Amino acid sequence: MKTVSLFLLALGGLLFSAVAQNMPPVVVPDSVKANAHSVVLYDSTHMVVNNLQNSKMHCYSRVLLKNKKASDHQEIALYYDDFTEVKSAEVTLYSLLGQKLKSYKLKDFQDVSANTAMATDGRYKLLEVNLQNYPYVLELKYDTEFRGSLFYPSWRPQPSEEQGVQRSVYVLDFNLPSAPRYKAFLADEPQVTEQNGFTQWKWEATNLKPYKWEGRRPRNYSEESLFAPMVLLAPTQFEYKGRQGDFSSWESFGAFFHFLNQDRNTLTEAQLAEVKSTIPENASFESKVRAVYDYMQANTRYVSIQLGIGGWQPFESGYVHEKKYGDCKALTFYTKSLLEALGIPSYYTLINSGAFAQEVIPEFSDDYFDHVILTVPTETDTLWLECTSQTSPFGYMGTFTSDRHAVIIKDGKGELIRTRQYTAQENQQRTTVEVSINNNGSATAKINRQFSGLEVENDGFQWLFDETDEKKKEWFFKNLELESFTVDRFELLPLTDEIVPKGGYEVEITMPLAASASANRIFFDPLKFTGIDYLNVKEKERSKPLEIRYPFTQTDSLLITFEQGNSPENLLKDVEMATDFGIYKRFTQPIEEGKDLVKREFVLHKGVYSPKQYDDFRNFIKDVQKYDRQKMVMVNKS
Amino acid sequence: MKKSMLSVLLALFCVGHSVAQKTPIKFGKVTEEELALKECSFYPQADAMVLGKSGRLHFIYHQEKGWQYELEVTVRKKIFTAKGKEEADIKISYYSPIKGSNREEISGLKAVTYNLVDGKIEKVKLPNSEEHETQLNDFYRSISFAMPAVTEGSVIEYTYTSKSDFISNLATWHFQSDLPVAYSEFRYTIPQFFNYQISQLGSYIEIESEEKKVPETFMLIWHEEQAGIGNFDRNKGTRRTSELKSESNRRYMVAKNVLPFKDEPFMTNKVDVPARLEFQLMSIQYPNEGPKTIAGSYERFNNELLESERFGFRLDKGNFAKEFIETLSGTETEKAAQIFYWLQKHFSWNETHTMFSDLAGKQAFNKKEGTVADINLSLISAYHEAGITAFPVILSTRGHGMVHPVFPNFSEYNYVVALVVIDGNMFFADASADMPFGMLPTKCLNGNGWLVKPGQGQWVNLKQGAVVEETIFSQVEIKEDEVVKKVSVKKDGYTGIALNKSFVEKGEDEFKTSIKESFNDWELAEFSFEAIKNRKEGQFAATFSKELDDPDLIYLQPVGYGFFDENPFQQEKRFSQVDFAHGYAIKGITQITLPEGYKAELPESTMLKLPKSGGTYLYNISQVGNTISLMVQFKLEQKTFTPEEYTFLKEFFDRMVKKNKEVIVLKKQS
Repeated sequence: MKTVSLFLLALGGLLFSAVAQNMPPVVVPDSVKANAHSVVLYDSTHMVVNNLQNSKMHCYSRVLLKNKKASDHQEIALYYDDFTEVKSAEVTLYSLLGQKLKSYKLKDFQDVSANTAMATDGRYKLLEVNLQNYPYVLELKYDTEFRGSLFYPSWRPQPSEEQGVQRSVYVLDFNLPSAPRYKAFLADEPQVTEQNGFTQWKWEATNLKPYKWEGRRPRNYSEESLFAPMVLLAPTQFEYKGRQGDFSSWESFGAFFHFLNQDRNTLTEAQLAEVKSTIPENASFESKVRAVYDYMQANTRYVSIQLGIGGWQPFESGYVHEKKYGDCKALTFYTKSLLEALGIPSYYTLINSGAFAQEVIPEFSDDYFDHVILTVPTETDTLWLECTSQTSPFGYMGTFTSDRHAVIIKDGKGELIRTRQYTAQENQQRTTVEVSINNNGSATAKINRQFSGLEVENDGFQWLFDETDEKKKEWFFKNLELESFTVDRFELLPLTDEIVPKGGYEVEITMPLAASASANRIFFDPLKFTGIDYLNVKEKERSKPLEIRYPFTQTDSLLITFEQGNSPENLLKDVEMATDFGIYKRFTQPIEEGKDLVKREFVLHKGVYSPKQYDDFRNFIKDVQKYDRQKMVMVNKS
Repeated sequence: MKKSMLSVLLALFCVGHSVAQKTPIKFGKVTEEELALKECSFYPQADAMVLGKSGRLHFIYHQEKGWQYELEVTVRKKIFTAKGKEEADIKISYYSPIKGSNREEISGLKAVTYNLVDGKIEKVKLPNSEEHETQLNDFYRSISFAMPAVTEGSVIEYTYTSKSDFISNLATWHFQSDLPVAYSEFRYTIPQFFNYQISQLGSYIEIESEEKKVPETFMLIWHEEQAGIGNFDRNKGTRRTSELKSESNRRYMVAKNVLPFKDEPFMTNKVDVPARLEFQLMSIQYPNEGPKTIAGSYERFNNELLESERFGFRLDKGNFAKEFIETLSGTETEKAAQIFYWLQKHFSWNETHTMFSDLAGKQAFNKKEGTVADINLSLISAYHEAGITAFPVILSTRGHGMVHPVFPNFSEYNYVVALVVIDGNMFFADASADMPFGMLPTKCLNGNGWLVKPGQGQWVNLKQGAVVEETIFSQVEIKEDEVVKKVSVKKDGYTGIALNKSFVEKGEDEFKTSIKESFNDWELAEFSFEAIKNRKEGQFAATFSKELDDPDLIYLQPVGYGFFDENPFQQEKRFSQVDFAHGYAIKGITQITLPEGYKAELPESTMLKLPKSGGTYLYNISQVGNTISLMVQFKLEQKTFTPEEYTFLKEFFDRMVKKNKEVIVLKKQS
């Protein structure tokens, strides 16, 4: 093996003088070290689950920090709360010759609150290592103890890009009535041994070469889209803060949450009467649900309070009614309780939130979730209610929770479901522009833009309705991709309160620099109003698939009027492309002298594309971007 | 709008309207009118507003700890909209370190939500169990709470008392916030023994104020042997108690209908914006004693720094540099640069900003790492050891606020650099940063710094000579069906350094790609990067080509790389000053060679000027035979622009950007 190390050569004559060394000099194979900012020399996680009530974790790692880009390793944050205790921690810095440079004990760590919430038990033991003299080795040792058997760290031996790994080991010992479960990717089956009633599973990885990150990969766990080995572990039977549970199936997973939510509905008759009074008699099923949702939106606010078992359990619904606030669990459970009083069944639903949230593995039940919403079955369909927003349209899921797996708690058990998908047909941006261009390049334009479906989230449009006029105006300045302009008039077309919401705006602007005019010519790029420059296809090739998760359609129609005496010298040529990835069409239609209509349509399909297809995908997007940049040229004959 | 601090300061003491002593903000006295209010009368778009905020500050004497002050705060807010409800989540942070005995304490918290239900005022109290106390980190604690039963229209109110052991800087009182404030009153009562410098800072607002004397009596425990009383060395000598009478100064100040402050882009020192009152203890004088000065003028500040064990005392610890200095040769300036690069390489900066050092000198040198002060005070010591004139310059970094021009305050400064003076030439040197000798990192380019010098210190302009110089030569040739453009770019100063850094960090391939991307639509044919000379200058040369759609009719935009193609100033109006870190001097020289038989239509030559020679733009184009020559030059000398000057700046940029995008049209003559 080619293990000649530069570091070893540098050692040279110093071997004799380095007597006080307390770690052997660092030797790393080139293949692991090249193109890396850091190298995990050795990493070991040893988890011991003694019984349902207690587990312990010992972690040890030695990481070579080659340069400033490895600085992530310099911040060590060890989480703890009333369920997790950091028993010891030690950090030591060594030179590559193995000489000790500096060391820190647990008492040197800062103790900080994990305080993004109004109130939380979560805290960190935090240490920031300041040594900037690269390269050096950072050794970290710590022990954590858990009151329970719920938590199993996953094994990700190579979590960062541009990081090499020499050796990484994961050992799990357990002595439990039923074995935990694992799901391994790019990793072999574990070595299994039995001793003193304990079963041991062991995984190991050596000499992992650095990889370079690629964005927009599919969010499901799969060997195709992962860069490095990964093993996920999950409990079967467990105990958490004195409560027993079993995550081995979605049914039992849900049962645990059902158990936590039991007897939390404490709404009194008087409280319910307040709500019922706002609901018209003989209201239809849907208008009842809508009325309850409106009531909840109008009468509560989101406040994050995560204390004790409350990190997992909602506030009592009577408490939410009285205080008029709660977190996602509390507000969802409250809405569910209100619907229940009207005889409408609904399901508390655990989900992973965010536009690029990781997918769950359907056959591997575990707690993947960070959010709770409410599922309401209707006669023909299903409604999903987001209870933490005071403004979200009724039934709208957005990129926050649409098109993914979730677990509903139904009849005391869990059930895996999939939330609604929004199609390219539903996700529309329609733009109509009338623009008059003067010979000096200035222009006035009337822009009407309508969004539907997920497109209402464009540039945060959905959230504009809460804002002041001033902020709305600022939003136009920030998001109309145009040169200097003044807003003469603007009007927001209100967001409709429905599952596929619609909304938009109409704005009239004056632009001193709409076109570039020189001598007797005008150069104008009409598609500046739209453009998809944000779709970045800079990487020339990929090793992992690419996913377009949210499809959309853009249609544009521009009526462009020039001053009299201008005639086209160069109009935009017609384009039509249809590929596996989407559709692009652009037509120019002269209406009369100095007046032209430009029409454009762009559809981006939903899809997952292999690295082989990437080149074609890239060319398609680059072509669209090029066509969108093209200018029309008018010449003034007068 | 922000006036100079000094003029605001003077204005404060001229405005002396009599104000009603009776405060409308008394805890618990929420009115039906307030509950019925539909919008803020002077800022109708607000989601929530502060109806009133009241602060009462007075001194107490604690038998163990000595002088303290108490501040009773009451805040009353109105919630108008659903979005405004987030204003009902309250968090009060205060200094309470795990170690050490001096701290702040919060007590007496009460909070109530008021709603109008069926025409009647309904009160909902915050139970103690819903006050969440958290030790945020080793230094700060917080109390947070969510006001209960908040709906659109609610009025919320809370009150608490904060007690502090730190009398040298009293709590800053903010009259302005990110919500509109209808009424903000602050009343302080300061014993006659304490002389505070009180400054009204930030945006200008009108404040009514009234002053009077009130008698106060303090029970003191003090120690006989000691010359003074108070917090300073209180614990020596025999214990005595006595009564201390004071004709205390009470000032009552009110600001009404204060607009919220705005968060704007390109606003460097956001902390300077809100209108507020700051206190700094200048001197203490007890009856029958001479005054004891605590803080004061820059003259004193200068001397205190020079006498400080953690500053002035650290400037002559250069013995660690003896051996190195003996090896030096060349001119004084060359020697100064060699010392700088030696220490820059030797030290690694631990990312801490401060101007004080306990270690500068041999100790810091042996440690090889340290704070800005550890490194730069060591650097100055080494200069002194070598007989080179060098002074420390203290400053506040960009974003940390501007320093007070008249009343110095240690906490306003967070950085120290060296200024080397050789034959009347001045060189800045910051060995903690990755910058060449003579240049400060961009974060230091913030107004003036104070040069600490025995005898007399002085202000130095930190942006002096801070400029970006770029020259772009282009040779364009029209061939049969393509245009070929040869570009050579030379950058000096801040962008030169950036170019070099980017080359080192990205590596050649990625660097090439990034350059190519800034020449949109052009294909890159050849590329070379000039070896780094002095890290200040960066150079590259490249050849690009572009296919011609129609060789008979060619549109060519001659200005591109290096020049603004978009106006960064889009807002119509501006409220805070525009702050460029450095000036610009960018020059583009382009030669276009035409093949036979083409006729060119050229843009017009133009010149633009900012008022007071703040900046110029020149566009000079001509054709001789088959050669078109263009010279474009952009110079910006003025570095800060007031909101009034903003209009000119925006207009200047608009026109410049427009000109940069103009096109030459080449037509083949048939």
